[in-house]
Amino acid sequence: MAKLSLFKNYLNVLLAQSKTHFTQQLLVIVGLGLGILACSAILHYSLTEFNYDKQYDDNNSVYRITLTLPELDLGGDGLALTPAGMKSLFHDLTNEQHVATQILPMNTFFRLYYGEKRLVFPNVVAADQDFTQIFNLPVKHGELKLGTPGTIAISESLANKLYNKSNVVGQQLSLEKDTVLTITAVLADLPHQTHLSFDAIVSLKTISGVAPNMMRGLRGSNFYTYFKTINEINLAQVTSQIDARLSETMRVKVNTIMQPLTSIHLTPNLLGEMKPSGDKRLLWLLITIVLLLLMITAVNYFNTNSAFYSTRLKEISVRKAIGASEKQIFIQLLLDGVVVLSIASAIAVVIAEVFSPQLSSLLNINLSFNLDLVLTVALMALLLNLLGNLYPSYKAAKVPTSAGLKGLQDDLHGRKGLSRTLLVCSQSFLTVILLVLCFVMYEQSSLLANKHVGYAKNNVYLAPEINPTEYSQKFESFKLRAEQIAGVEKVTIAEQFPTMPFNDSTSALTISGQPKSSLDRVPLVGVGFDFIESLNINIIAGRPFKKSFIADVYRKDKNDNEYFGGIVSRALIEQAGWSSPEMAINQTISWENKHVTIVGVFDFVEFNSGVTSQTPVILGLSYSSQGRWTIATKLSDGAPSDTLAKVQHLYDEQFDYPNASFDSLSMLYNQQYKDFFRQLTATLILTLIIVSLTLFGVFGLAKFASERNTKEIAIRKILGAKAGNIVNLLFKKYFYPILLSCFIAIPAAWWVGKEWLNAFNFSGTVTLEYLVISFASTVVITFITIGTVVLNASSRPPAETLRSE
Amino acid sequence: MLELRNISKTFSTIETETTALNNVSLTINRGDFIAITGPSGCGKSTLLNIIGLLDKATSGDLLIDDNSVTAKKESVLTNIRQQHFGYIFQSFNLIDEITVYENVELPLLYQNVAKEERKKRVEQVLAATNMQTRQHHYPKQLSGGQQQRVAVARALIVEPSVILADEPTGNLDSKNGYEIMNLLCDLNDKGSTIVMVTHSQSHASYANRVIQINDGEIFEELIEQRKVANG
Repeated sequence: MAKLSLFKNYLNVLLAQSKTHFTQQLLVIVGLGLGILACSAILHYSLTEFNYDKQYDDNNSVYRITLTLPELDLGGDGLALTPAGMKSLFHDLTNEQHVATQILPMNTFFRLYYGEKRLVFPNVVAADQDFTQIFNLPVKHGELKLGTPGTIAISESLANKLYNKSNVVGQQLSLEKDTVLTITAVLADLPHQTHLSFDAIVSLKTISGVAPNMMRGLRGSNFYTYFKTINEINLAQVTSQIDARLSETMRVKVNTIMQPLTSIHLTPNLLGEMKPSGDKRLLWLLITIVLLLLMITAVNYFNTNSAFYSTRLKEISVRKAIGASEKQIFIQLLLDGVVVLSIASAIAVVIAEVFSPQLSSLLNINLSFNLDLVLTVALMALLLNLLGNLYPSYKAAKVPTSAGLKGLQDDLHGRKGLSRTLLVCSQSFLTVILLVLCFVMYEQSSLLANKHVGYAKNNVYLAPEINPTEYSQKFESFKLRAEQIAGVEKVTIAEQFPTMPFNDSTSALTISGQPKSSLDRVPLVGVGFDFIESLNINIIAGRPFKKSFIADVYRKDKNDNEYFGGIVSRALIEQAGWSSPEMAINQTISWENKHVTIVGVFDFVEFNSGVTSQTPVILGLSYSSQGRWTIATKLSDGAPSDTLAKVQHLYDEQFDYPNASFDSLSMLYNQQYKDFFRQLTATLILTLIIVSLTLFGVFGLAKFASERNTKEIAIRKILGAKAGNIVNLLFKKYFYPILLSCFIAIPAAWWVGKEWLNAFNFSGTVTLEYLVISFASTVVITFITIGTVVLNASSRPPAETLRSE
Repeated sequence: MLELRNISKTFSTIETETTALNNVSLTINRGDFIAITGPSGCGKSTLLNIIGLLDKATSGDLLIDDNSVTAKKESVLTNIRQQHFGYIFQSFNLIDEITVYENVELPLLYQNVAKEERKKRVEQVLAATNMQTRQHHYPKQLSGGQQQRVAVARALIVEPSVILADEPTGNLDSKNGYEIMNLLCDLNDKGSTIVMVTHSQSHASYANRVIQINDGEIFEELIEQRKVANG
């Protein structure tokens, strides 16, 4: 009971002291709140990212087989998908000692129907019966029967969407309208922290019946293959055996990588992932920023606590004189910290709740009020109390009682407060660096937005893929009708548009019968008529494809020789040894059974971020390697606002694809740099927070210094000091050291900016302008902050000060 | 009860070393009312702080009830302070942010005394110092004399064996000064031991022992009968 009363006593004193030092205390709390919020949000995000796929049993023994094809420029770091025969191959090589399963993403190949209605949105996969031995998914109703043909399990949210209830076991859907799928289980929706992504899972035996050819062979990459080790396995040996076998069957060098399940999410840039991966680099960058932020917040808190406790040394000494032990004083000050940090934490949680949508979209996590967030905030508050309050509390409790009572000691760290000044200087140093980094990032983002990519990406919209039958039977009619809609400039088709990975390439070429070993593995893109015109690609020799030129059109002879017209890049011309683009026109490029007649040369198209002006590319008219065609619609400038909706409606009608959504090509282009833009946004926000925290810190310290020096200021004024002398008195303490630290920060900022830009293929420079603006803005803001406090202090009438002393 | 043996205290800076007390020996008996006098800077307050365990001597020994406390840990000294000493300061040293009642109650909170007992004792000492009507006031709402009465009440609350008063009337006018001195005399009459530092010869004359300090040494000790309160 006495302890409770003592705590009440501490609280009363703290509240009264906070009223006296209201501005400083408010800044401390707001600063701590911001710091806690930023640290908690990023920490929460980082922990989420590091804990993907840990909910599955024995997750440490589960691997996914992925492939890299080093000789092909696929536009990614490898393939998440493997050939259909991978599971059998793995079993053969390991004598079936381990469990393996395969998942087939079905949306590209099959359509799911609910009665007569085509289900567009669900993400559907097929898996074999061993799936459940690796992925233990919670079943809400029924039983998962992946070993039985004609069965499907759907997620609870899909069940509710289709049937308005969750228990839909026994209901039926169909595959391509003709294969009945009975729902045998309703699964709980997949958690956020898994790399798996699907709304429905069909038994793979169903697909074996419908498309038996898909289930065989070691070519093509359509299946995710996972295995769980039951006993010891020599992964290196199995990997090299698979490499050898696949290199033989796929006729290209293959490197196999066994990805541990829990590392899948943070391994970026694999093509064919079920959902976007996390970015380990971004994560480490954010964690570094969290540590910096935590350090700055802790330093500010340390400084203000030292200052605040210095004003309370008399009270502390009185308490000790009347019976308080050092331990009790230490606990009192720590409890004061707990109160202050609790208020700051509450502010952090409220801000997180209010700005939850914005923060969630930035970090892609749920930041609304939940236990995890509260725990993370509490952890941050605890850390800050340890880092920012433990030592000042200890020092304050240790101050000799007699010295404290006589006012002989009024600063925990001595009169000079050197360590405090150094800490404030280090914050300003960091502020200059971060401001420069922001400028550099901003310039880089402008460069990316305005970069010459060789094609016009604005007003071009890509529709969902169509298959070869739809291409041959319906595309021409769609194109004809779509181009009649007001505002539609062109409609074209291709296997890959810029921003998509390449999926085919040549083998060693011969040009007009002469071998050209330097031109091996040239990316080959199948395109339709109007591709060049729709994307405004610059033709520097020859012409675009024309229907009137019969030789342009793809044809196959009875010996399976394929002939088609091609437009090649300038880089190919240069690497083939032609002295001018014109010399290549009407020449024939051949490899295997393919023969391309060059009808034109284009300058350069950045098909994906790995393509440079030195990358040779062939555009082949109507050539198809995968049979996955994408339609693009180019709208004219000033097209009526409903033009795209009309085209989408036509697409729905033509291809039986309700509510199809078209992607803007410029949006897809920006998505290639989404990590960069996330880094930019995160850095901008965090810089803003760090700058605010630094200013809070500087303001609080200047205010404290001015309060502590009020008597000195008053006496100096009585003795004839002018306002300028008084201002100089306080500026000497904080402003001049900060000025010096900003100077020192300039070369450091230049180096950091330069290193960051080095990670890009092309980049701007760290200009003198950025360095000067960052330096000047930090100095000016600090000057204004300290100046405001100093002017306020120096304008106080001396008599008033001395009377209160 | 309290014995100082050859106590010395020096303060050092980079340039100078100042001797505040030089081989001071003194015995304080139960029931004494000792006044320590001397010019400014002679070491009076330093001596009082060392007696009250608020400061440590550079050399020498301090015995309380025949036990040396010189080398004791801070936690032990805190316990001794709680049990033996009550402090009254020239500038009152009340905590401005809490009420008179809470200021007086505070030492009992540090001793973990139960609420009912605290209430009883606070009311008793406030009555004894004639401050019961001001118990809900804050220090800044009181006159200097009243604040010093509260400080006396706070010193008395733990029923100390020794009351240490450092210039208790230094910040008071003569009327309030006399009132405080009468209060201290009453306490001494009731058995409290009092050690008081004062500049005032007049106030020193209330004591039954007057110790005069000069340049850190006991210059003279006078033992005399206490004068009557207004005499």
